[in-house]
Parts: sequence; structure tokens; C-alpha cells
Amino acid sequence: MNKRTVFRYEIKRLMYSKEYLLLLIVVLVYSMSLLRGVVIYGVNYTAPFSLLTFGTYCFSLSPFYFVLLLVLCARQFRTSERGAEAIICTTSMPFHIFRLIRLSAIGCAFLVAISLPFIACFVFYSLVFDYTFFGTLLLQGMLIIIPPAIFLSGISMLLGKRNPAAVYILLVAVLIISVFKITLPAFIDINGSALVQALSQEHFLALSSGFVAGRIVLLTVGMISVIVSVCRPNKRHA
Amino acid sequence: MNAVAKFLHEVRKLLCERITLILIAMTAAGAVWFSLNGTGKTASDIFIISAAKNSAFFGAFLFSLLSLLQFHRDFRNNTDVIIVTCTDPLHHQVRRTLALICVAVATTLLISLFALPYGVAKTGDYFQFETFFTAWYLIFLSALVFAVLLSAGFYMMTMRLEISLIIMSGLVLLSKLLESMFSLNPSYLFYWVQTTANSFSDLVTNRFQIDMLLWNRLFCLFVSLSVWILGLSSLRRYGCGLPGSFIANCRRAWIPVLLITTIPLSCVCYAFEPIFDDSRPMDFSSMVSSGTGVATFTSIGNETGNPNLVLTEKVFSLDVNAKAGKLSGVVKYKLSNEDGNTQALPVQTNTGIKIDRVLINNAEGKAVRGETGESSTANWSIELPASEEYEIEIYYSGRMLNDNTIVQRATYGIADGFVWLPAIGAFPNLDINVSGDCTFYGTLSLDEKLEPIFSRGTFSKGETLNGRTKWLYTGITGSQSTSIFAAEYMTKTFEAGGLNIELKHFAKHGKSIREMDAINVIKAAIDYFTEAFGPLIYRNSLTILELPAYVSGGFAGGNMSAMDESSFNLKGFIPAESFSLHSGGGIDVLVHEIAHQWWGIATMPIQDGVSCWSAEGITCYSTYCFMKYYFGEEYAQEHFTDAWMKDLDTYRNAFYIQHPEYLEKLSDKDKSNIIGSFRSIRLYSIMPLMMLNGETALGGTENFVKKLSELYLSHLGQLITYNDFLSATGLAAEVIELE
Repeated sequence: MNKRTVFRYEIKRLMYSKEYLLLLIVVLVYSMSLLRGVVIYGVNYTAPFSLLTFGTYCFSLSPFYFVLLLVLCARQFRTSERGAEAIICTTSMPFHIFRLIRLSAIGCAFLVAISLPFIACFVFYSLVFDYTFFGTLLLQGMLIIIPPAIFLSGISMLLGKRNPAAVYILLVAVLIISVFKITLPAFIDINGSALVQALSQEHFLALSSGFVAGRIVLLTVGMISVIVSVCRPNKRHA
Repeated sequence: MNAVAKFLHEVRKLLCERITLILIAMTAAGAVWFSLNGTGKTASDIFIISAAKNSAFFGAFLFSLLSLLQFHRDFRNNTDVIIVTCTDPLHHQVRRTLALICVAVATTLLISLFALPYGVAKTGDYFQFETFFTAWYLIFLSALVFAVLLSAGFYMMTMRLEISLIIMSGLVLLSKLLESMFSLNPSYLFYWVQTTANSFSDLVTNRFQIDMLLWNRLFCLFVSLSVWILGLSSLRRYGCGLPGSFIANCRRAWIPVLLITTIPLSCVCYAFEPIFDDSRPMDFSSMVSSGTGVATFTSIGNETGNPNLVLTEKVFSLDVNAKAGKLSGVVKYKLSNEDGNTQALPVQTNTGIKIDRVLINNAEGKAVRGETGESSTANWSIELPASEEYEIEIYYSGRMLNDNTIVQRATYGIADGFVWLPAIGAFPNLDINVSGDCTFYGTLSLDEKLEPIFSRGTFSKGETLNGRTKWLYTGITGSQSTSIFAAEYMTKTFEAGGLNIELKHFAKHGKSIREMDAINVIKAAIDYFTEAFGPLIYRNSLTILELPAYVSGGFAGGNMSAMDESSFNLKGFIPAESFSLHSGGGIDVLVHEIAHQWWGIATMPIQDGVSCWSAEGITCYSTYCFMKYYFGEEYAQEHFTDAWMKDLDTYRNAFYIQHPEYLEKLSDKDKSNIIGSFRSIRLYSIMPLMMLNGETALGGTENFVKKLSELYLSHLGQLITYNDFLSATGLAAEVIELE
């Protein structure tokens, strides 16, 4: 079985899973309600396609994205999955490669999930307002979603190896921060609230040094955690 | 192991599970967060009610999840078959449901450890234990219990985790969405999670709202129990499908008995809901609106029920039992019959009042209830024999019902601590002509701690016996009705604007009234507005009455101007970001509401949907003028002009104002909503700024106010349009307009 086949199999398992489909439906329904109820009016009397409005749209969706990501990560630490690891270790494929493939599959499934509401929003802009300059908006959306997503997936993989319940605790923490809109300092601004707050004052994409540093920190810590979690063998299999 | 031991074991097992502890912790964390970040009009609302309502949503989601995970576990772990062999599956599910309810109770008690001291500390003198208990036990705990029962019921019916989860998410969401479905006017019984609790008073009893919530909870309990028992009866038996399992489960007599008890009880609870009636929807064709809440009804086509009869005297004896929430009384009427033939006497009462007995010239008569009219009016008819003169006695009793056709809010009623009887609620009114010299008087018996206030006429205190005081009332000659309010009021009397002013405020608000120097501010404001615009239309006296917060706003009628308690809060409880003065609190709002006496009540500036003209703009401007006079230029600049300019900037920079072409791309509904979102700025900020332009154009405040005075005096009791305003001031629209 080559790597591509394993990847395809993993991504199919993820995307056809009940959790993924259910959360994807929730994300899509919520994104539609945001488009009709928030975006069309424009946030703080700005344009529906302003950075603030689109930032608010991404910010509102971010808890759902992160829950979806953490649920996908948590799947990897189920008892059945951990049981299967013993069998996988006996195959010719190195186990860290297999982990990397699984992580890539999670990344792809997550990207599909975040791209659908983005596409829906851009189609909405293009059909209703004839607006097609998506470059800056996309950059902003990525800045809000991707660094914390990498951070969360890295940390959850690292913690999940030690104790699967830790992923759920992380999920609860993210939920509390996101749902209750707790404003975190710019350098650990997981939910992007600092960016949206700055936008509501400045109305243009003015990235504070604290925010940029924070994104770099989140990306770096996330990447390191991913690498460590992929490369470090489980005690059980060592 | 007996049943109790098994149940205790189930509770212990549940409380030891990690997921249970996590979800309890999350629910508690949510409650703490919502307590710290509440919103509302009163202290009770912000620190207690709003927290409980938001926590109820969060908790309902989490407890649905917990219940579904618990019920799904046996199926997931393939242990369901094992359980069947060692215990009764129905009893097992009952124990599990009860254990989950115990967890809900434990969570609420845990939250109370924080919420009670927090509520006491934050609301201070305004803390009411009844409000706290309603919030956290009636709203929050009940929502958790219903979530458990419904989740368990749906899971046992479908035996599918994801379907049950979707149904529960949908139900929780539906409860939230009902809040925005104004046009459908959904029953308050359907708000199963958060209820319709809103604007709880800090100062008087919230019994009217609590009664509504109790009935809501009773209805929801029966519905949840019905779903749960239906689920229990559908619990799959080994080797059986749904019909087979249903039959097998129903062999236990208690299941069908409970099923046929709870489902009809839910229906009965819905059908015989005791707060609202079946009033006919109101005809708003005779109403003009300022666009922001000030509404005036003009009497067009007000026909008398029987023009042949004339009322010459009305004497009543009314007994209000505040503890029982009921009233009873007798009214003696003297009537003259213009043609001497038999007549049908049309009588109007509140829909909750029953006419027990009728005496016509000392002979027994009969009152027949007809159709329900508008605004909780029950129409009765009494057949009168042929006679020139009648002496009629009507004995009546009952409780107040409310109109459910506009918003489901219990306005009228009798509670221990607050009474509000509308004109047709206090005593039956006759829908006939009233003689110009008709005398109207009587006695009102009330708990001694309550002081009554009549919307028209005068009253004095009589004797007090056995904890009840008799109040002697004399109405205005030529009238036959008055509304009655009663509470523990304190009265401050002073003169202002040539009127004797009586400020009647709730006893609990004494400190706040003193601290905000309300008496001096009201006096100065009335004097100022009278001097600037002209006298009010009241005869000799004006009563300024404080109402509970749930009334939301105020009204004027007779010699009374009433406003809700949020107008008398020192700082108001709303964060300062609010656009509208109406939604704030404190001294600015108090003066704003007083200014409405001139603009909105004595005269009626009406919105035309095109210009920024309404009662609000001119009221804001008048408030600004007084504040400049009373507190100085700097205060007026900071609190009014700067805020208006900021709003104007927002308006001018608004995307849809700069690019109206984009509005054309939207549907009519969206377009209307977007234009509507600017209404508040246009009426409350742009119009006052236009008036400042008018000041400049006319050479100063004094000249402009003089023109407004002419406008006021020439339009007393009439509507004022934008054109009337422009003609009176001699200004051209282009000179003052900013857009």
C-alpha cells in the first residue's frame, strides 16, 4: 500500500465520519445565517465586503472551525485507533510517516471545511455586490484561522499522546475563549479578537507588531509541536 | 440492591465520570462568565436574570450532550444486551434520567454558591430572593431538566445519537429564534430554554412575570415528560422492532397511564393558560407614531354602544385582595332612558372579571357575556325592562387578564406589592352616553401598606381596620372610569410650571431619587420648559408616577405622566455605548421623558418616513437646551452635541449612505432593514443637529426657542408635521438639513 493510497483512505475516513459531516453542516448553516444576518448589513456601518465585516465573519466562525479541528485530532487518540497502532507498526511503512499522513489528512479535511464558508462568502459578494477583489480578505481570513489552527493541532497531538482527555480539555478551553469572546493579548490571540477590535477602530488591515509576533509564535510553536509529535515514538511502541 | 440503592449508585457513578465533571465545570464557568457580563435595564436583570437566561442556553446544550452520551454509551459499548439480562431496562432508564436530573440540581446548587453572593453584592438594596430563585431555579434549573428529559426521550425514540443531537440543537435554537419572530407573536409557553423573563423590577414584586414563568415551566414540564415517556415506551426490547417494543413496554400499566395523563395535561395547560385572553387584534388605523415609541391614539369613529341610555351617577365599592390576586366589588349606577322602552345595556369589563349578580331597580337581572373585544375587553349585555329611570347594581369579581395580541407581556394584574387595574378592570364600564354632570365616587379597600393612585380624580385616606385601609375616591364630574395603581409609594410634592407636581416613586427608590437630586431637576426642567414653550395642558396638578421596569417606557393620560423605574436610576445600568437616550438611564433620560410632555403628549410631532422629523428630535433638542441652562455649556457639549456629531460622522461614512447604488442590488426587505438601521441616528442625532442649524439661521437659541413656543401653542392637542415645523420657524429645509 503506497502513501497516496493511505492518505486517500485516511481522508475518506475523516470526511465521511459523522462528527465531520455534522460539524460541517453546522458550520455551513451558521455561515449562511451570518451572511444573511450580519454580512449583508456590514459591521459598524462598513461595507459588507470590508475587512471588518469579513474579519467578523471569520471571527464568528472560528470557534466552529477549531472545534472541528480538535474533534478530528481527538479521533486519532480513540482506544480503537490506539489499538490499531500496534498493527500499523508491524507494516513496512515507518510509523512517523503514517502519523504525518494522518496529520496531512486532518489538515486537508480542515482546509476543505474552512474553504466552503469562504467560498460561500465570496460567491455572495460576487453575486450580490459584484465584488471580486478577494486577495486582502483571503489574507486576513488566513491570518485569523491558520496560525491558531496549526498551534491547536500541534498542541493537541502532543497532549493527546500523553492523555486523550487533554484534547477535550483543550477543546473546552477554546470553546470558552471563543464563545464568550474573551479578548486575549495580541501575542496569544487564538480567536482573532485583537485583529477584529483593531479593525473596528482603524478600518484597514493595520497589523500591530504584537499581533504579527503572536501569529509567528503560534505558527512556530504549532509547527514544532507537530514535528515533535510526529517524530517522537510512543513509549508503547519504542 | 433495592431501588434507592440502585439509584444512588447511578448518581455516584455519574458524578465520578470525567465527562460529567467537565460538563458541570463548563456549565458553571459559563454561568460565572454570564454573571460577569450581563446586560439589561435594572440591577436584577443585569446581575441575575440575564445571567440565568444565557446560562440556561449554554447549560441546555451541555446537558443535552451529557444525557445523549449517557444514553448512547450502552449501545456504543455493546453492553445494552448485558444490562437487559441483569436489570429491568425501563427502570434502568428511569434511574439514569433521575441521576442526570440530580446532576442538574447539583450543578445549580454549585452555581448558586457563586451567583447568590454575587447577586447580593451587586444588586445591594435591590436584591430580591424571589428574583434570584426565579432566575436560577425556575429558569436555569428547569431548562437543564427539560434538556435531560427531551434528550433522553428523543434518544430512546430514535436510538440514534446524531439524530437526537440535531433535534435537541434545533429545539434549543428554536427557543432563541422565537425572540426575533415578532410578526408571529409566538406564545410565551414555547420559550422553553430562556423563557420571556425580561426587565425585572428592582423595586416592586415581579409576581406578574413570575406567574407567567411558572405556567411556562408547567407546560414545558408536561411536554418534556410526554416526550420522555413516549421515548420510554419506545425503548427497544431485545429482538423487537419499534411497534413490538412499544407493545411490550406498554404492558407495564404505569407507562400508558403516564402517557395518557401527560399528553392531555400538556394540551390543557396550553388551552387554559391563565395570564392572557382571546382579545381581538387592535385596530391601529387611529394611531399616529413618533416612530420611536411615542404613540398617540386619536378617537375616530368612537361610537356609543347604546345612545338611548344616559349615565347620571356611578358609585362603587371595590375590594382588592392583593395576596390572592383577586378583586370583588359592587357598582351602583343611575341611568335615564330617553325613550322609555326596553333597552339592552352594554357593559364592558376586563376579560378576567365575572359579573356575579345584577339588580335592576331592586329586581334580579341577568348579564350575558358576548364576544371579546380589543384590549382585554369583555362585552356583556343586560336586558333592561321599559322604564324612564334605572338603578342598577352590578356585583363582580375576578382577576385581571392581559391582551396577547401585540406582545405577550403581563401588564395589568394584582400582586402582593403592586396593583395595576386598567379603567375597565377596576369596575364595569357602561358603553352608553355619560351625562355632563354625572357624579362618580366610591371606596377602595386595600392592604394598608399599599397606597393607591387614580389616573383621574381625587382621593383621601379613610379608616384602617384589620390591616386594610379604605380610600375614598371622587372622580371628575362627567366621567365614569379611572385606572388604579397601588404600591408602596412615597410622595414628594412641589410646585413647578404653575402646576402642583406630585412625584410618586417606589419607597425603595428614595435613596436614588435623593442622590440624583431628582426633585430639583424635575422642578427646574418643568419650569424651564413651561417658560420656554408654554404651559402644559393639565388642570392644576400633574402626577409623575414611577412604574416597574417591565412596563418599558411610559405613558401619559389624565393628569398623570408615568415612566418606568430605569428613568430614576442614578447612572442607569446600560453601558454607555447605547445610541438611544431612551435605552439609557439617569438624569438625561429623566429630563428627556419630561420634555416628552411638551413634544409627544401635549403636541404630537409625527414621523413621515422621509425626513428626520419626529417627537424624538425636538425632545432631544429641548433636553439639550435645558441641560445647557442647568449644568452648563460644557456638560451639554459633552453629553449631547459631541455624541450627535459622532453619530453624524458614523452616518455620513456609512457604506450604504455613501453608496446607495448597492441598496438597489438588495431585496426590498433587506433594503428596508438597512434603512431602518439608520433611523435611530436620524431621529435622535441628526434632527437635533438640524435644530442647532436652525438656531444659527435664526440668530441664536432664544429666537429659535421662541419659534418652537409658537409652534407648541398653536398645535396643542394636534399633530405636528415637518412642514408645520418649517412654516412655524420660517426656515427652509435646505438651510437646516445636513444630509
